[in-house]
Amino acid sequence: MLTTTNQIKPEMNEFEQGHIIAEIILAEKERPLTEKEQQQLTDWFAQDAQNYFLYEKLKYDENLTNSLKELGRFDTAKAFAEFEQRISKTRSIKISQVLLRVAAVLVLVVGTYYFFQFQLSPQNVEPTQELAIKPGASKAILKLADGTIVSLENKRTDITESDGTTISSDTNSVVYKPNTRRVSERKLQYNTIEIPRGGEYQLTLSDGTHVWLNSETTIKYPVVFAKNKREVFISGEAFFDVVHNEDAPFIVTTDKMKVNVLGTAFNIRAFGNEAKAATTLVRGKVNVTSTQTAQTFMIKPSEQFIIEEGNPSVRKVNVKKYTAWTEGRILFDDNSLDEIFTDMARWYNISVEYENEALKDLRFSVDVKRYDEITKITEIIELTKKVKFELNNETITILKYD
Amino acid sequence: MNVSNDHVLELVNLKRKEGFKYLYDYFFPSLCRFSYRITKCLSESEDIVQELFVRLWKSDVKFPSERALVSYLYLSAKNASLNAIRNAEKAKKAEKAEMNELEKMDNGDISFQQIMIEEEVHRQVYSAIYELSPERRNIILLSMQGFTNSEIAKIKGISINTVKTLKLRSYRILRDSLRPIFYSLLF
Repeated sequence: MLTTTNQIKPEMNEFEQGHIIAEIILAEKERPLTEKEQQQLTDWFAQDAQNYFLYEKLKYDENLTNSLKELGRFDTAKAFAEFEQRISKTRSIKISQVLLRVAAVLVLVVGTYYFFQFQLSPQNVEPTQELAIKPGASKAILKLADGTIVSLENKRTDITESDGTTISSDTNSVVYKPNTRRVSERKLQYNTIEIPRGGEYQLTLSDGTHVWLNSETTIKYPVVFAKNKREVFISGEAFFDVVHNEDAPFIVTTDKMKVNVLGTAFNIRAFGNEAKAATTLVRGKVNVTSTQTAQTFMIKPSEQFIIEEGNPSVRKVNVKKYTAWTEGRILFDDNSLDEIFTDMARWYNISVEYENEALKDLRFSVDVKRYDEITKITEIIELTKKVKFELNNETITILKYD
Repeated sequence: MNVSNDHVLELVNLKRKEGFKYLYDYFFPSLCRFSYRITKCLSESEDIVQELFVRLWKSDVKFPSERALVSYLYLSAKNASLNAIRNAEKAKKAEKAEMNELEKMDNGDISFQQIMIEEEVHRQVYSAIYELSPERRNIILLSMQGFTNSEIAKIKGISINTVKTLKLRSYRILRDSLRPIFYSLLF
C-alpha cells in the first residue's frame, strides 16, 4: 500500500487526492521519496499556501501522540453494537409480510460424498502458484438440473434455470429469485452446490431461506419447492436460517439424521468422513430423527442433538462454538487437537500429521478470526509449550514441544 | 492490521459484518474527528458517522480499491456534516461559540482536504498500533513521546526488561503493517 502511490489524476476528487498525499507524507517518514512522489507533493504545495504548512506540521508531528490518544478514546465496540442493532431492525422491515423469517438452525451435517452418489467435478482445483497455506475463501460449484456445471468464485453472474427461475450469483452468495410457485413432488428439479476444501459460500433458496455453507460441503435442493414440504439434502456443515411456512415444513436430510424444522436457526454438521454428526439449535424448535435407530428427539435452543458411534443423544451446549464460523471466527473451547485440526484441515485445505497419536488428545482453547493466517492459531497454541508445529507447503506436522 | 487491507476491502464489499467491524475499529474514530471539525459537536458527529455506515451497509456500492473506500467515507462524512450545520439551529450554536476564536479560525482558514489529510495520516498511524494490547499500545505511545526505556519502566512500574520484551513483541506483531518509522521509536 505504501510502496505504490498512484499518480494523482485530474478526475480524482479532493479526498482521493488527499489519500495519496497522506500516503506520501507517511512514506517520507521511513524512506526518501521517489521523484514522482516528490513531484506530486510539490504540485500539491502549489495548489494552496496552507498545504506546505500542513506538510511541515505533519512531518514533525508533535501532536501525534495526543491525537492517537484521542482516537483511542472512542468506544468502537459500543458503536458497532449500535450499528448491529440498527441494521437488524431494517432487515426485519424488509421481510415479506407473508413470510416470517424463522430463526436459523445450525445444522452441522457431516457430509459424505457417497451419500450423493455422483461427482460434480474433479477434486477442487488447486491454485498452482501458491505454496503457502492460505485461509479459505468464497468458492463453490453449482450444478443445474440439466447437469450444467457453473463455477462460482468472486464474480457476478446471472443464470436462468430451465424452468425459468433466475439465479444471481455475487461474490460470495447465490440467490434464487423468490418464488411462491410450488410444484408437485414428481416435477421437482434439483440443483446442487458443492463447496471444496478451503471454500465457503452462501445460498438463498427460492423461499427466502438463507444457508451458510462451510468447506467440504455439498447441498442438494429443489429450484422451486414442493407444495407440502421443503426438503434439502446435505453433506458437510451448514447453517440454516429458515423462513417460516406452516404448510410446508422444512426438512434437512443427511446420511445420519433428518432434521424437521419447526421454525428456527440451526447448524447442522454431518461429514461422511467423521463418526460424529450433530445438529445445534440456536433458536426455535426442531425435531431430529436418527436414521439408524429411527428415534426422534425434539431439541430446544442451546441444545444439541449428537450422534456418536451410532448412538443419538441430546445435550446442552454453548452455541457460539458451533456458529462462530458463520461470523468469520474460529472458536474452540477445551477441544482436542484432533478436533481443532480436523476443522483447520478443511478450511485451510491442508493435511495434518502427528508425531504421535497421544498428541491428538491434548486440549486447547482458541478464538481467532477465520481469515487470518493459520500461523495465528499455531502461535497461540505454541505459547502453551505443549506442542510445536512445522508448516510445509500443504502439510502441518504437530510435534511434542520438547 | 492483522488482516490485510485487501481482505478488509473484500469483506466490506461482500457486506460481511466482520468487514464492518473492521471499518468501525479503524475508521470510526477518525471519521468522527473529521466530522467534529466541521460540526463542532462530538455527539452530532458520532450520529453522522453511524448513519454513514448504516447507509453504506444498505447500499449496493462496491469499492475497487482501498483509496475508493477511504475517499467515499470522508466525502460522505463531509456532506453529512455540512448538511447538519446548515440547519438553522446549528448555525445559531456556532455563533454562540464565537468565544472559541481558535476553533473558528481553524474552520475558516483550513480546507476540507487539509482536515482530511491530517486525520488520514493519524488514522493510518493509529491503525498500525491499534492491534496491540492496551498495555503494549501504552508503551509504544510513551516511546513515541520520547521517553527512554528506563523512564517508561519507572512510569509503568515494571522492569526495563519487561519494557524491552513488550516492545519486541509489539514489533513482531506489527511487522506487517508497521512502518519503519516506528522501528526507531521501538528501540
